[in-house]
Amino acid sequence: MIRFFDVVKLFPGGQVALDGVTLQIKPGERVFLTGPSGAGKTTLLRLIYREDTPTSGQILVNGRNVATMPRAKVPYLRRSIGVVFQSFRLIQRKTVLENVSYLPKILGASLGERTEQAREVLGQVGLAHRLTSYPQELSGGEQQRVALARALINRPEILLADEPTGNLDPQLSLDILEHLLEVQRRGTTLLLATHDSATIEAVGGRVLVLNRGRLVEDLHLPGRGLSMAVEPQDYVRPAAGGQLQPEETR
Amino acid sequence: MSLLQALRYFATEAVASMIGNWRASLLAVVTCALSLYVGAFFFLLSANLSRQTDSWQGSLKLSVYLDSDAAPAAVEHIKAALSQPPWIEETQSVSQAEAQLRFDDAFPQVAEALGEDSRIALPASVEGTIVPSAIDEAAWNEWVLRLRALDGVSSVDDDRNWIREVQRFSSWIRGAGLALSFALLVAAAFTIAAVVRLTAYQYLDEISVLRLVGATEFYVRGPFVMEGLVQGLLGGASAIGGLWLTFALATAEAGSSLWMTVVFDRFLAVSSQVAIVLIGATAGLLGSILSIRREALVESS
Ligand SMILES: Nc1ncnc2c1ncn2[C@@H]1O[C@H](COP(=O)(O)OP(=O)(O)OP(=O)(O)O)[C@@H](O)[C@H]1O
Ligand SMILES: [Mg+2]
Repeated sequence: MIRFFDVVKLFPGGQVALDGVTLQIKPGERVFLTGPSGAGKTTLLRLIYREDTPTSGQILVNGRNVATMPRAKVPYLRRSIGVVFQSFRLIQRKTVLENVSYLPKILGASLGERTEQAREVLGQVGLAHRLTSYPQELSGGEQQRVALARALINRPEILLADEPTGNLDPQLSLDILEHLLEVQRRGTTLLLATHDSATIEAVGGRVLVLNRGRLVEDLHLPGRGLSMAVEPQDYVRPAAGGQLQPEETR
Repeated sequence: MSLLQALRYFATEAVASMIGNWRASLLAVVTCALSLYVGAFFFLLSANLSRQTDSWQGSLKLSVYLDSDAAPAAVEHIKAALSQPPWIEETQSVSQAEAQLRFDDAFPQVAEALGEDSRIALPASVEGTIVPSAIDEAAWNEWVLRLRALDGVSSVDDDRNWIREVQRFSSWIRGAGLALSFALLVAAAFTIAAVVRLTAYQYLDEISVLRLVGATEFYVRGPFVMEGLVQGLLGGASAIGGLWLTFALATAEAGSSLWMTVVFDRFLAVSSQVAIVLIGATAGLLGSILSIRREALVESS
């Protein structure tokens, strides 16, 4: 469960990243977060895993008040949240196994147990055979799957993904998306920030639209089927009062 | 992870990063070693000096030098006056010839250089062994003055005076060594701090990943603290190694030099060696802890 109550995030210099956002995401829900560049998507995600704190307002994550949480408790919050980024953020000098099983390691799992756990989550993303590879030996799509496996290793209740397919070509994007959706189907809350309206339209689900830090739409779209997602489509409609641009091409 | 496992993990990471950054790490170890070497060197000198002065305490003498024309009766009177107080144990007459023999014995090179002809005539003396524990300073001073005034006395020489000189010198050495070593140690701690921070900056994105997946600060910073600790330990150990080398060379070279044999009499006790290594470790630990406060390890983006 994620709840935002009138959350405002200002950056030094007066930049308004979030402007009075109130929302609620139920356990196991699949939610797309979209909106033009600079709308506040990344900021919203960062507030959830306490990479940043709101200027005002309250944020509840799994019953914990993230905004006021003492710094020492943050690691325990993060162990129940998986995060995937556009830029994978793997540790280059460590093997896939070490990347994926760092948390189990510091939690005291033996090498055998860690290997077992890593094999299982890597199996979910089809990479169980690459345990001893280094990230630079993997393709972009494979690296992102490793990052996803790392996010899943501690069976998080929430999975956050910030443009997880932004660095990948359409076919690989589809592949990663399938994996993310599979995780959600197994019961994990999925909050996925993306510009990719075609994907949203194809998959369907709840869509939150941000614009200039405001939550301008909260709607449910029926899915059309993933196979069509590869077709470039512009989904994002101008919202009432908003000036949403068609999706930017990168 | 148990504490032991955590420490092992920290050590593995620290060693890997030190190897990857060997130049900077070497610099940190060398500065640390240098500062501890200086301190340990002075400590070694003063420890040997004080041991020597302690051993001399048992054989301190008060020498009363006689005028060359002192009458035998006057000498007997002097002897009696010398042996009277409780702080003199036994007395002994030293003739001119005996004085000459002692001198040749103590300073063979000087004696040789002077040759038979140009000898200075050494005065005869009466000497008494001092019992330091029995001395009442005020009475002693008065008594020495009276001795000086006796007929046939040319001068009175108290061994304790130059022992005091040596002790003063020894504690000066110790103080100077401590001060110098402390200053250098502070510099070493700062060097270690800078090196560890440099390393930490290189690993900044790794650090943010570790925090992202839920690592506590203990695990995030442990490897860096360990790196400082290891550098300090290595510095301390190298200082001891270097000092031992100096000691071995010095004792081999010492030969007949009295000073060299005194100040390089014995190497540092094991407990002192351990203490020096621990001081290095502490400096490294403090340096690294200070250098990686949380605020220092946040990406600027
Ligand atoms: N650290 C920061 N300091 C100052 N301003 C910031 C900072 N981070 C974000 N912002 C500003 O906050 C606003 C929202 O940024 P955010 O990154 O959340 O947007 P976004 O929706 O993720 O954009 P994009 O689609 O390009 O990733 C932007 O105007 C941005 O310039
Ligand atoms: Mg963003």
